[in-house]
Amino acid sequence: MDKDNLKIVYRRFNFVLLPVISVLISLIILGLVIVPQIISYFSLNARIKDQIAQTDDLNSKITEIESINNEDTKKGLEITLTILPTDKDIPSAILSLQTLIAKSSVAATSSGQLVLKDIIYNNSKKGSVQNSFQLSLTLVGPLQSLKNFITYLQSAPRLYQVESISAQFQKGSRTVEVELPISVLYDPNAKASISFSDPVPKLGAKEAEMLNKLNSFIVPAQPEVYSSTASVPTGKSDPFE
Amino acid sequence: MTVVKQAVPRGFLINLLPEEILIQRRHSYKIVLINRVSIAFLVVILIAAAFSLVLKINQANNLKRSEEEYTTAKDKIMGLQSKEADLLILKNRLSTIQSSLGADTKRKAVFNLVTSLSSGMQINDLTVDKNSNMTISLSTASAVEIEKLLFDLSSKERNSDLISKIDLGGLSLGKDNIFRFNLKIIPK
Repeated sequence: MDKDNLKIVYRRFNFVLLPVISVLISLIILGLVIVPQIISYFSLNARIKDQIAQTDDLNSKITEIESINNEDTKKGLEITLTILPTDKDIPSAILSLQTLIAKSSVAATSSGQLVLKDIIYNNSKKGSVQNSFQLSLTLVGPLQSLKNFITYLQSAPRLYQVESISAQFQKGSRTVEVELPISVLYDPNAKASISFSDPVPKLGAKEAEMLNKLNSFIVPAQPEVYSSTASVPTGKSDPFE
Repeated sequence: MTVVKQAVPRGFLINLLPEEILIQRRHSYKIVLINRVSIAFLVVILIAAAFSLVLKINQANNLKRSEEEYTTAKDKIMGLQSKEADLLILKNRLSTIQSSLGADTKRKAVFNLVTSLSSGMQINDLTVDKNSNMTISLSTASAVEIEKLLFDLSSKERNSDLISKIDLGGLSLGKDNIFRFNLKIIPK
């Protein structure tokens, strides 16, 4: 194609050149800038909304956590860790049982006392509950004392479960020799996994009531103190005066 | 050239130009119109592109701000996590204790009930197994006592609605006029 031909073509299509170029540029801008940005606008907007919602959730969670009374939680943990320790703590379990046995006796006389004849810790014998060990007690004493002991086990400062009861009564009396395998529970799980999305745990009224009940198991009733020295003259506080 | 306007009546136009010029003029009119429309279109597109860019920048700022706020909240909550963990552990332990507390209640209840109801008799031996089933061996001189015990054990009001089945076995009267018998008590 020579120059003259080009000039002819140019003259012929001269008038459509500007509209074509401007439409082309417009389409390019539309396709490469506006449409992708409109598409990304909605996805980005959704992302921002999601992020704001998450932040709001976290902020409300922070408010909730900040409202938790840390002292109460620590005290509650102490109580539950005493009742259900993380390790076996066999000595404390035995000590607590001995205290309960002494408390169960109906009378101070030897005939009314419940006596711990034998206590066996069997390592191979697991309790019926997963995290537990078994202590087999052999007790001798009046039936009423045994009943008291079984009742007191429910409010013991450790978690005990009576596995079975096997009793032999002495002829002509209500004195009994009983074998009592007891499961002592513990819970080695002292960790909790928390994720941001989890709701803040709350202690309900039932759980608070339960904590109070457990607390009463731990705090021993104050023994009645009889003051025999009240009327005794104490003299001067400073003897050299 | 003077044009006498009064001579032409209203609504009349007399075209004295040659036809080619008229066609050329119409053509150039069209071209100008097309050019103007295309440029206007381009300008509109450019304005839209600028607007979308501003929107994008604004959105990016918003996103950055919300991300910063989220990170701040996350950091704050990380600091409070031990508090939350303590509460969760407490809650878990309480639920474990609650579920374990009443596990042996039935065994104890059966033992207490039967030993109370048979207070007028001599209990020889007694076993409560893991399923809370009780086997008890008793002896008494009075048949009325046996009847009363069986009545009490089978009465809903007296047995605290605790017992579902009683098996009486091995009932015998010895030379010493004492009844001896065994009971197997199955709780509900």
